[in-house]
Amino acid sequence: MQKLKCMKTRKEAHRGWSSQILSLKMMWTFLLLFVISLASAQSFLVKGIVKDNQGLGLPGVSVRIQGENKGTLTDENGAYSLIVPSNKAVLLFTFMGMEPQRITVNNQHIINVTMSESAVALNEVVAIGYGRVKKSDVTGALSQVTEKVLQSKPVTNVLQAMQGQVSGVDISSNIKPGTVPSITVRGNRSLTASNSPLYVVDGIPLTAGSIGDIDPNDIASVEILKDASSTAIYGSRGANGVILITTKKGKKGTVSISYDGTVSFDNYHSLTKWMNAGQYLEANRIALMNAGQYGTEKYTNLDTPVQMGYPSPTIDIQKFALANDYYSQQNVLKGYSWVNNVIGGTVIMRNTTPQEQAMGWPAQVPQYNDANVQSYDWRAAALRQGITQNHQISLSAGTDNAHLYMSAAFLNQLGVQKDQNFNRYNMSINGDVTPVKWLTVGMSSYAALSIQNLGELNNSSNTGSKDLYSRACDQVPYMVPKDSLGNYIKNPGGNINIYNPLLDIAQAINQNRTEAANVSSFADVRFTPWLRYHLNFGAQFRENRYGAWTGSGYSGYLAAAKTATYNYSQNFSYVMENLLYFDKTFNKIHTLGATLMQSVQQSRAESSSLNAGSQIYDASMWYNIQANTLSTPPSYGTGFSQSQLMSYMGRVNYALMDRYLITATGRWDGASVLASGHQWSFFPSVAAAWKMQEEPFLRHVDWIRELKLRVGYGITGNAAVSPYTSSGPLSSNPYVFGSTPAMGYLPQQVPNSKLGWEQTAETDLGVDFSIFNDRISGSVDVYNENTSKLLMTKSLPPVTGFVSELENIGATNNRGIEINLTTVNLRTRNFTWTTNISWSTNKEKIVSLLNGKQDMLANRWFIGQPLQVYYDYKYVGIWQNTPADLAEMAKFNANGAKFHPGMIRVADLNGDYKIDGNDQKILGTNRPKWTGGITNTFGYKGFELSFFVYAKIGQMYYGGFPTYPGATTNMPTYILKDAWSWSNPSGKFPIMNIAEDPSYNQPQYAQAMAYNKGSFVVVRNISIAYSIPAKILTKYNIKKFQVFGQVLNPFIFGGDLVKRGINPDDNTGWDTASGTGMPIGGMNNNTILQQSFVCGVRASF
Amino acid sequence: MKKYIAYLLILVSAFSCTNYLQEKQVTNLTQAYYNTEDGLESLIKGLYVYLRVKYEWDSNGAKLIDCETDNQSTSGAFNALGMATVAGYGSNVSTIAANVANFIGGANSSYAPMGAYPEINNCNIALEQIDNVHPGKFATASFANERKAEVLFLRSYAYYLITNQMGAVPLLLKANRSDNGIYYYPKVGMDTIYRQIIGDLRWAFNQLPPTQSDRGRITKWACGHLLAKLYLNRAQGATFANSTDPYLKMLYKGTVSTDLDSCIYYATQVINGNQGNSGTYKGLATDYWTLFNPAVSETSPSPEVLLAAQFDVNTSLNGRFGDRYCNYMIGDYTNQTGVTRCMAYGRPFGTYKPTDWAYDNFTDKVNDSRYYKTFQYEYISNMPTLSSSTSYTWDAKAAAWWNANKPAGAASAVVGQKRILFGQRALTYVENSPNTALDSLTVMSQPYQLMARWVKSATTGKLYYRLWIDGTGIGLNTTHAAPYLSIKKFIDPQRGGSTSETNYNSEAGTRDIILMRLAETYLIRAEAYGRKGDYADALADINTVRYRAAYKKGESRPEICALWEPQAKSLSPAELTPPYTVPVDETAPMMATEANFTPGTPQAAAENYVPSATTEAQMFIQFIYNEKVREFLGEGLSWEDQHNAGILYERVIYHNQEASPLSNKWPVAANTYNGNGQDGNGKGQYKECYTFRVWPQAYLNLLTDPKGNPLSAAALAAYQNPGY
Repeated sequence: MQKLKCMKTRKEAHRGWSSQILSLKMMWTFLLLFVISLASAQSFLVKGIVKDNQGLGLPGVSVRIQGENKGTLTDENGAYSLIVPSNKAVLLFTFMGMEPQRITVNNQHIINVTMSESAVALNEVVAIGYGRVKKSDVTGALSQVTEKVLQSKPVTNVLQAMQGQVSGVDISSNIKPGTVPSITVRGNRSLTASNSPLYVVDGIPLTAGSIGDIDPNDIASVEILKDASSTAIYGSRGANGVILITTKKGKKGTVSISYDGTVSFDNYHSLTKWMNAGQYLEANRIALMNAGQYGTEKYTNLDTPVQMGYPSPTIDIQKFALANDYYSQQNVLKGYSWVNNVIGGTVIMRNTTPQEQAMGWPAQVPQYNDANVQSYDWRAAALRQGITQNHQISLSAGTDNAHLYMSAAFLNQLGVQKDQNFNRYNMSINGDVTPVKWLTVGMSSYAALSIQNLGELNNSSNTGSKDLYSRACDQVPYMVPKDSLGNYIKNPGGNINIYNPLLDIAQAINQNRTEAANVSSFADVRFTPWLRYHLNFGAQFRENRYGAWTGSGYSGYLAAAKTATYNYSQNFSYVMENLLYFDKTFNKIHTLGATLMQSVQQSRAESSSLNAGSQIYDASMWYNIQANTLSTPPSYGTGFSQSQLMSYMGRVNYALMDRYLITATGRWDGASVLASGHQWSFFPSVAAAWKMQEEPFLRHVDWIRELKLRVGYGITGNAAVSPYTSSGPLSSNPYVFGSTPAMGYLPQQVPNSKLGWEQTAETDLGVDFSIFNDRISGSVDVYNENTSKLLMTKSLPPVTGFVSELENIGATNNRGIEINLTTVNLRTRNFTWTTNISWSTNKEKIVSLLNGKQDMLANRWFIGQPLQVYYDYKYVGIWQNTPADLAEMAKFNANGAKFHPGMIRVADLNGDYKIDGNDQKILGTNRPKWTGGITNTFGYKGFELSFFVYAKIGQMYYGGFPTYPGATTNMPTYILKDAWSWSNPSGKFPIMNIAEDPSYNQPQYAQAMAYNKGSFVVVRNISIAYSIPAKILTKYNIKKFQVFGQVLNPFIFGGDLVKRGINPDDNTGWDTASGTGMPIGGMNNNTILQQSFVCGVRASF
Repeated sequence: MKKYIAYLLILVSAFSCTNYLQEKQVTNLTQAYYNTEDGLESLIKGLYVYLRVKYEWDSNGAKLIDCETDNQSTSGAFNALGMATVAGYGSNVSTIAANVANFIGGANSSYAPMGAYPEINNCNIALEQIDNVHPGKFATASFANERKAEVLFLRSYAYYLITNQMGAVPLLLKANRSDNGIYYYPKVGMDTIYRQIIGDLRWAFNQLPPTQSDRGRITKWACGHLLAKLYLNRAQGATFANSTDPYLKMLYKGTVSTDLDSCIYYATQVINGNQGNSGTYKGLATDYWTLFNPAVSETSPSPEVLLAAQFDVNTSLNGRFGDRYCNYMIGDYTNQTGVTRCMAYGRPFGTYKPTDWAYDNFTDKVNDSRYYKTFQYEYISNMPTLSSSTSYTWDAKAAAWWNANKPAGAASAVVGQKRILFGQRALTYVENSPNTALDSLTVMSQPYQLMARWVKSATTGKLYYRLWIDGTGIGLNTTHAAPYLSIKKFIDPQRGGSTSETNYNSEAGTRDIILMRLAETYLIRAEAYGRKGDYADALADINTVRYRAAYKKGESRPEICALWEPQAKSLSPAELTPPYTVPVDETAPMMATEANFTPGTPQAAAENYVPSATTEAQMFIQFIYNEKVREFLGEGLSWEDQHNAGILYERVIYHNQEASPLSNKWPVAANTYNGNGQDGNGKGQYKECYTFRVWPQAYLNLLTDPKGNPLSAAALAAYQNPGY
């Protein structure tokens, strides 16, 4: 038999899976004949050793006789012995994470087995709400991310590693060190409340803690509960999906110590080519001349071609406001030639050519060469080589009665932006003991300290740059940061609204310092084999200190100098759950399980904030806030909130003949934040699964390992009401009599006692399959979810005395398809090739709003559309200097428009020759049509090469219009070539024209051109790893030693947008809208692709 | 094992008590707090926040009260540059609608909703609590009545402000404390509303004490002042009862024949009661500037001030916006001047700027001290490093002129060097006329920026309107930044909470703003006398105000008055020599007489009356409002006052060139630009329907009929003010 297996694998090396089917069929036919011929029925003992493919004994492998409830586990050395009833018996060897093996006994008394790691672990146990089940028995829509996948990515938090791995889960990219990306499960359903899922760590809901505090290396697996039938068990918090995190536990066996370390070299790769000083000046002069504002041009009006003029130092000084900054002035004047090289003295003139004279130029003009104007690279000055280091050392030990896992980790991220960095220190310890047979007690805990420096700027408002890099992009290249004495210039270029970002690197800090601890403990009491009591108690503690500081030399950008802010928040929560588990099989075919739970949970938060100005000395930062020249802080405050949740839950699982599975749950949640009398809500669900492979008609179809149909329905809630909102609170409104404070307390909101949870009802239909000897496995899910009772702020007419009220109104719908697929394309002894694919599509839409089916234009909410849409003018083209266009423009201009050739033309939807709000329409949404990820992994002996490609297709991206002359920021070079001009009427972008009306920082209707197709495909990482063979390692008592290297984000592919220099993957900021529905704007102009080169080591001793 | 189970059961039951889900209102107060004495007091204190409404934020009250008048314009989208355009002015109804929405009632970040109706409802809650619950001290009738009178004043003030803008509005006298989905709020005529608020204030007048230990609390005299003003407004409106002009007719507030006498009665009560109608200054502050000089006004405000909106140097007491009024009227003084933004000169928002007429309305710039006490007439260079100073440089022509004409001892000009020296005058203004245009070479060759309204070329004789230092035109919709002579009354040297220069960019003003002062009481009474034909008493009151306004012996006029002001020609040589001391009280030339409003006199001509003012009675009214503009420029009264007097529209279109649709009413300059610049034509689209503001569509859409159904199109149209 073992020989046969070898033969089989050798064959596989030469053929694809289709040929293997053939060989399998032949083999089964052969076996069948063989079994019939030896049809004797005597029981006897079988022994053997189970090893892994490194040749080490595997302890804890389940050895079971197929079709019977009889089996054993291998011991520490992988040895087992088992009495088998007959020769025909088939032994089933299973071990979590390993390819199962079925071996017919066939008169063998010693059966040694080598197990290899499996691509699909069908029989592995997965976490579900309040329990664990075999993956094959799952009735809801659940995805798992294994330790292996998590480990394959050098990430600072677990969500980054999950991106693109799980269908139906959308995780954004965020480049701020230490910031947790946003995540949504199966689309967005809530308009005003959070769409973030509930995290549950080792059974305890994460209420006070943050997912970012957990070292990804400590995570054993992540399960994502996606449909309502599986999340309804979390009741009022289940609507946005539930992410279950299971941390690593000690393993039975010898003590093992592991070290994991990675070093990542991070860089910003600018996708955009930026102008140098000469180009910047040229673009602006052209723009001024196009509007008749420079002075050397021959300009008639905006409808007549302009004859371009020549550069002049006196006009430059005036038009570029150079009078206010000596150094910028000197630099620009270097473009001209000066008598005796005295810059600013007497300019050297040159004779003009006949062609120039034909353009109306005088006989002599200043000699000018823009190459002599020096360019300062502000972006380079703001950046550095980023380095991220991550080191973890862990210990695992276990006996029959006790398990222990400990780890310590250190993460240091030196940001690419000079003012950003992140440090995190983690410790964790997990253990359990079984002192007596009927009792197991255990505890798992972790603590983390993290320090996140967000740099000089922490701007989340809708105007202005968002970080140092984006401020550096704003700087004009002819400006210099320092004067001749080496001192920073506060307002380079002399514009009081342009502040020197480099100066602020040392003069401003925004820092978050977070300490978190999470402890969960359990006691498990087994009364009888079928009845078990389980007590969970978890407590979480997290405190955050946000400190902001500006030094005495701070430029003044967005804040004053010498300020200090100290904000402190402390969150604490505890959960206690009493669970009773009942599990029994009746008459061999009825398996009944029941879970009953009662729980209480309290969350408590308190905070304080202090802001002070006029600090006396810089070194005090925010630590000596009283050292200021004012006696009182201009603002201060404390806050407190506390809420309680009390729940009862019941679940029944019933399985008939291990084929037909039914799960029904009900949860009652009572919440303190709701008005009394309306505190309790009920969340039911039911799901059924049909394990078709267990049916007689499929049982012997060998190429089907699993075929399971699932259907589920459930109702879940979104606990989105904040504490103290239903009572109609008063707000504090300060007044003062003379200098005596007079605090006024006025009604802030009208009371609403009927406020309740948002509710989601979801139906999910799914199929799990594994076929062709697990060569192809995966799942497909289709779902439809209806969310209702959406929390919305209803405007009240102010004559009521109130302006708004929070109510449960509105509904949304999400429907989608998810596919997860794993294929083993090639599998030989030395070479494997596996592919993992996740693909999902979700269609989200608003069903009803405040007034039923009426759109809410002000919020950009439209019935039938996704929750976020772009609603704006429709770009048609560039107005041309043709009779037809001129005639059209005249009609608009008669109504007060200012259209001229070269300007942006937008659609006049109602044909009234007025461009106004009525001509705006829905242009698209930033929700993708589909997203997908594909990971290909090639293994050859100890080598493993994998690459992960992530794609987001069909979404619209805002931000595709370049910066343009008129706004005092740098611009991409391509506009010089692509801008419309009288000599380039096919230019794709509008005429560069510093408009008559300087309130337009960009050309009129530029936003209409800013909406672009945002589809992209990014090669997220390419990774190569090498494991030193066990044969060599055992000599040195090393269990495992792996080295690996990766490159992150080497390539991005996309349409026009990417070619122009925008990274649509980085949608930070562009997906949130301001009050009027316009996108707020990017974190860093979204013009970079962060790239990293990573190397690392994983070793176990 | 049973033992363990017992323990567990105890644990379980410990958490199962029913109180577990009770929400304790720890950081949170509910309206139940108003059942306590402290709570009710805090509610009433909160009602005072409304007194800041006109001066906090330009998107709320501030834009509705002063710009779009004869004396100030909004510089709109171009604010930092001080260039007003058509789009920024008048025609932009949607911007005004947004302001009006906030003025009626709007969300206000984490603070209670702002605007008139949240205030009115909160007043109604307070009144009901006082009457029905009367906790603690409120059980004492005298205390309760005093507080009730304050609340009635505040509610009446809210109705006064909202009716000024909207005309007929809903009249709500009962508290609303819950939402029932029915929003039936019909409008009530102004006659009913005025009857209510005049009645309320008459009752309050009798309850309120003459002084309050809390500075800024309503006193008897503040109440009497408002009452006098309401009587005057109703009397003014009564004259339009049968007007053929539909917009003027809307100003009607009822006809009560005794209103002018009531006005005089209450104004006299205030004038006599507040400080006693005696002494040289009759209760007014002796020096006009001390009303606005922060060194005085913030520490010991004059008793002339009857009511001021209170702000504090502790900015945390100033609500969401603080006193932003301190920024709005300051033009950009930093452009190539060697002056950098600083605490002393304020943050140049440049949102509102005076019209040319507002400068010219100071008909006597040498005797009326209010001109130089109102405007920031000069700036001193504060950029010490010569190399980094933003000063413009000497060119050959200017340097030659200066070296030939400079005063003895003055530094010589060197071509290419900075003109404006640290610590020296950097920027100054002359508001002259075409007749008194200054020589262009002289103006362009000073060691500072001399911004003259009119200059004349000595070679060509051409007249130029407002030139920039490089000779390009500024103002009136040209493309160049246009700094302007700014009102300095509100400049706040403690912006951001301290005098520290690091606050130079702070927007958060800290100064109290005067809402009512006795000078206005005098002019209210003067108008009432005048409307009765009693010009003698009217002139006595007017001259009380003008007496104070005159320069007094020993005061110094600014140097630039002696140097550049055309009217300074009338001064004696001694007065034109440093330190420019005023030798005698200039009160005599300041005294107004009937000639000031008698048709055909030179004094009347100097007042530049609108064409419709042809009789003495009409000219008298216009004179009162000219005087009010001189006295109260920038103080937030002119829109309301001129609106109620029914003269706003005409004064705007004749006096405010940037708002006016009229042509050929202004002198023409040589430096016009692409149809802009000083071409003699109005630049605006001001309409008479702006007499009352537009009801915001969003507000109308929320209203329902008595059954809760949205209003019909006809009902919506009926609700809207005419012209929109």
